[in-house]
Amino acid sequence: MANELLKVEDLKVDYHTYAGIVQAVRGVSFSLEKGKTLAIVGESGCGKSVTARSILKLIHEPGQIDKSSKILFEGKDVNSFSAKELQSYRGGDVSIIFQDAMASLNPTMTVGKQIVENILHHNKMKKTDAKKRAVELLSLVGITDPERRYKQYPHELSGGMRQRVMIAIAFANNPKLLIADEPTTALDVTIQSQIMELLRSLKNEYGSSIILITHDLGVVAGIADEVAVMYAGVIVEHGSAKDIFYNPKHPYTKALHEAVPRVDNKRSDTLVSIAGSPPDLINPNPGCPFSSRCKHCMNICTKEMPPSYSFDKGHEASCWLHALDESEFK
Amino acid sequence: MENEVIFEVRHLKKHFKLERGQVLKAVDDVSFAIRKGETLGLVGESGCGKTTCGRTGIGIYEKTSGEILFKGQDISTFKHQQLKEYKKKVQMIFQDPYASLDPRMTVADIVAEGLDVHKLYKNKAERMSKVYELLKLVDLTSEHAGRFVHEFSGGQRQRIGIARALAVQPEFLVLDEPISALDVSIQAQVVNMLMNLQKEMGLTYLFIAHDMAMVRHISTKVAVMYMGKIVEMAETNELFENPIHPYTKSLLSAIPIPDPLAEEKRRQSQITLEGEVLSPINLGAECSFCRRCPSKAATCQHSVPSLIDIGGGHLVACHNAART
Repeated sequence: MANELLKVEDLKVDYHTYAGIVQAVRGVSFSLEKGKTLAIVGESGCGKSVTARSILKLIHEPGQIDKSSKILFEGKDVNSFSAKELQSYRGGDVSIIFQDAMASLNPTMTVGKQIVENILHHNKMKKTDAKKRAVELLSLVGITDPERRYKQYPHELSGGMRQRVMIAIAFANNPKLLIADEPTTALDVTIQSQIMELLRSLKNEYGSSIILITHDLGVVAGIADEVAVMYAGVIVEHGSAKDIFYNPKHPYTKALHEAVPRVDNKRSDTLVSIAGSPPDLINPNPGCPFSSRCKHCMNICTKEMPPSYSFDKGHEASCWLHALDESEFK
Repeated sequence: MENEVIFEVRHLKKHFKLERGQVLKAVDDVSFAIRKGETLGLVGESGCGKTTCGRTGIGIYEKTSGEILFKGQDISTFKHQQLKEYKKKVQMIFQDPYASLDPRMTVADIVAEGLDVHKLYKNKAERMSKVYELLKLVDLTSEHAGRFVHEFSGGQRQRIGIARALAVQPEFLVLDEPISALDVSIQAQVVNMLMNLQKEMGLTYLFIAHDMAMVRHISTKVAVMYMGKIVEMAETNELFENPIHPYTKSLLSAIPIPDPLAEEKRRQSQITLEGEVLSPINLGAECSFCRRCPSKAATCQHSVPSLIDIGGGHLVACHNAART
């Protein structure tokens, strides 16, 4: 594909802890085209954040990206980048914003200075020009009175505004890819919708690709072109937003839809809950990770990892149930 | 015939005194009543006073003024034995299942703490059999009784918290964001359990949350709070289908829907608010929402609207609604 921006092949990330080796990500592959938005959905501990950080090589001890894993950004392998290449890659071509903006910003620096820092790191320009650009960025992300805000410290801003500052820093160098790791989870719903609206407009203006990490299917519905559903370190289903919302093929994806009430629905009697809890990733069983909680679990599910079955264009799900469909067709 | 009112607050106020004579009106003139077997959902954004309202309501915080009635009796008149009885009948479940359970106690001791305080057993065997029964009630087993809290997942911990609350056979539970710390697939488990227990044991709930979809699912009646005041209160379906207050309207229109086509429609009709929530310190005599309100009038800046019934028990605090 000519338009391919990012390709992740068989990503494996292990954490070496005292309790044993935690296999946080167990062979994740996907690719992302220019200007598209991919949402990675899953519960806490499913490896979605680790996947996102691996793209920026932000995995620290005791974590380790497996040597055979490939992360290709515009065809270049991120794993083989030198320290200098990584520096211009991070915050230049690819930016990331996190859930907790207060923890990501430096409390001892004014927010303006933090934006200027990122501009000057990647561009040769005068400080005064960088300042001008920083003020521009602040107004671009919808902060009123940007000159005054420029001189303020993170603690003087509200949660929503801090996240806007993070986005301003992330967009300082017109990144080709923005990774947003639960950008609105800590925010109130009215502020969440403002931030998501901002991300949508920036995406359209700059043509950036976005990888959105979240557990909220509502947020996904508003912005994603493609959705990958992760469970216990693997992508169990991947497809266009339409496929995932209207024609889910994996029992876990279906269960996720049924477990959340919709605000536009009348009160119903019971939610369909998913019994049990996600598996331990130190000694995962050899079969399908969802088998212990799955309504349709068969013998083979606990013994062998299901292969990925393809449906419509680009829609894939890893579930043994579809092996039955195939043999029926034959 | 309607059920008896279990819990009622009238003109409840909780003001915190700050330095330099400033006053933070966290809960300001809030009134509501909950009937037996019903659930009142109390919603609002962070800092609107919903948690303080719940805690002041059951007497964890000392109220500034107002009345709190439990089964029609003013709780401030309760003395020793009555007060002890009241504390047995009213229990609370907290948001953070990691912070609200003692890490150095076994599950059995946590669950039995209320039994110990109120001496609800004759001997040790009876104590343990009660504990096992409670654990079974929340889908845990007697095996779990000897373990410590760190061995459990978030959903299991929240269920231990529920077992602890149910140990003393309460009639009224304050659920303060009981599911917001849990994963989606676990939320449904806990909510279903709470709803089943309500049916079986005839419990009454005050459900404090910010997740509007879940509130719609669980509540019979919903109250929306904004800066310490209830701005709208109605039967659940009435509130969600016919919101009157501009704040409720914008709040409801901001909730994303997990369905791309419906979400697209919602975004086009969304009412976006200007600015963010103001500081609730030293509010003047104006409608607390008027600075963000898309349909404000001159009167809004000079007087505080009171909560009035616009028909069918639908209460709204808005000058515009009062006029029409």
